Amino acid sequence: MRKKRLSYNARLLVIIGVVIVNMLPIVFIVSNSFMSVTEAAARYTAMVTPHSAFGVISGSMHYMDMTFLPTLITASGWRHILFGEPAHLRFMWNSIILVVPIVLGQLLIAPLAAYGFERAKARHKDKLFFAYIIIMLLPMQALLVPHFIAANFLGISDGYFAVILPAVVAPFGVFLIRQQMKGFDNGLIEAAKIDGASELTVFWRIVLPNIKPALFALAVLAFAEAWNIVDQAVIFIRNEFALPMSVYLSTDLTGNIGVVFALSTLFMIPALIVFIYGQDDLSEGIIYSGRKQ
Amino acid sequence: MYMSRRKPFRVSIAWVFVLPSLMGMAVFFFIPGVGTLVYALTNNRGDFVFLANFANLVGDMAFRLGATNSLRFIAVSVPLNMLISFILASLLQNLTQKKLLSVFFMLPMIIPSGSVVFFWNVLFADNGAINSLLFRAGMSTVPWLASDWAFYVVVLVFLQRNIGFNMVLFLSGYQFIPKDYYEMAKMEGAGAFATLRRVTLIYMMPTMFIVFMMSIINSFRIFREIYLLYGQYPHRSVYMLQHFMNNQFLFANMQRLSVTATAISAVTVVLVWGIFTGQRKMSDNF
Repeated sequence: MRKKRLSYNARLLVIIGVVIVNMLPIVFIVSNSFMSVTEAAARYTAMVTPHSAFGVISGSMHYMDMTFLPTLITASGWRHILFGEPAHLRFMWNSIILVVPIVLGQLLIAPLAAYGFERAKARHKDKLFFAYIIIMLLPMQALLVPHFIAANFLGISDGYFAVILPAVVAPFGVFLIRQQMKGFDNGLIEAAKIDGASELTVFWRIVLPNIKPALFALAVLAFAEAWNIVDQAVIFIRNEFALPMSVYLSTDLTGNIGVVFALSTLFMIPALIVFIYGQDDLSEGIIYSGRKQ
Repeated sequence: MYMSRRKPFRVSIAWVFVLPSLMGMAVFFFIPGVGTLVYALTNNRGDFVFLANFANLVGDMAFRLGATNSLRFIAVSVPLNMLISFILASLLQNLTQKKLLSVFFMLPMIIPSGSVVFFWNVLFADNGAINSLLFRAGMSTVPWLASDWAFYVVVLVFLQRNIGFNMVLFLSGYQFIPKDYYEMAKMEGAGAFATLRRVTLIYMMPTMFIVFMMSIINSFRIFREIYLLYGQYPHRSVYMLQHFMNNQFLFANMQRLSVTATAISAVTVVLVWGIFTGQRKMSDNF
């Protein structure tokens, strides 16, 4: 019994250790966002400057002095991005106008299609759905070519529409929701129909309320994916001021070290909020999408 | 006798529900997908050349570099990812703090890559934290991001982001293994290794396949992190197929793009088909 207890604690310890190491990148960015702009510049520049002159130096190279705890805890980085140079926030806004239509569009189209696929009795629906699954599994870069052709044809090849529209109709949502609908009690639907409910009423009143977890899971996953958009953005958005924050954060690293941390943290916050709000449903959704039918 | 006022549900109505999705898929995936195929099989003048374009593609050094690196990345990162997340799930599955801990495990997947890219920069830059330690210890420093080490740095970045998600998948796989089987194995005196091989691994097979597939899909997404770390021009050890394609996009070289996309899609379809049939065979055998 004693031995068992010990191995239990040992396992817990190992797991907690892994969790901590795995969280280090996030902890580092968040804690350093409360560092003063000058301290950040002194710690993380490559050049020898008056500020960094006391650090570890080799030739003209200054070694970074990484820390998880700022010497001085201030909100100066935050003040800088929120009030000093709010131009940075423009990219946050760009991200928002990309993500909101994608998530809402997915939530509108995917459940409808999933329900349609479940209810349709046509002979070839499985083949069609198989095509959905194949496309879902293809790497983004292969799909960008058809997107590019379509966007050129529609005359939207430079701008947000070329990013938003394909993402709205991406097949993953349909797959995720349909997986969860498979466990749905068909008797309930039949009963409602005998009572004279229309198909739309059944969908709206009976099916949708019962698959709420899947809807939340889809919202979280679609949000995380779109909030992190890089590949599509660098192809279709040529105006650099229109880039989403996910790309901007990589372009602005060198010049503005003082604000990168606060900006990076600010960019995490919406994703974190959505995650915390939907995490119960998310694990359920992942399990459903992972369960073989 | 009561007669429903409404007609019985007809096939056509279900398809109305599917229609918005189907139209979108047709416009952005199916129809231009056929266009991609046509581009891939014809030359500049529109003559049908069958596989000549593919032969040209294979002769392209940049393509070969990208394809080799992408395959190498999958070959290294996917097994590592599965092994580590499986071990973690096995350690975690009996703990009472399972739920809380898996929330923390899922976090890195949710955090946008752009937000943590600076962490990796600080760690692995030429003047970064690791080199700083090496320098202070009097050892020679290593250009982590500008040498063949870059490949392993990218593998590490991939693992940090993905093991948590796969661990949660494995954890859910554990839920579907009946506890009696473990009792039974114990009663018959099976050791830990025998139990793992005869009970856990066998019942974990379906989950294993899902995780395998998800890992491969996610390994394609590593382009994002590499792009954020390097921009357009990565070190040659992390020059992936996607970089090759991105360069073709810059020149809007439709033919090359289409051929590459078709080749990648074909390989993926064969792979997925292989996984599915392999899985069916395995589960038939058990």
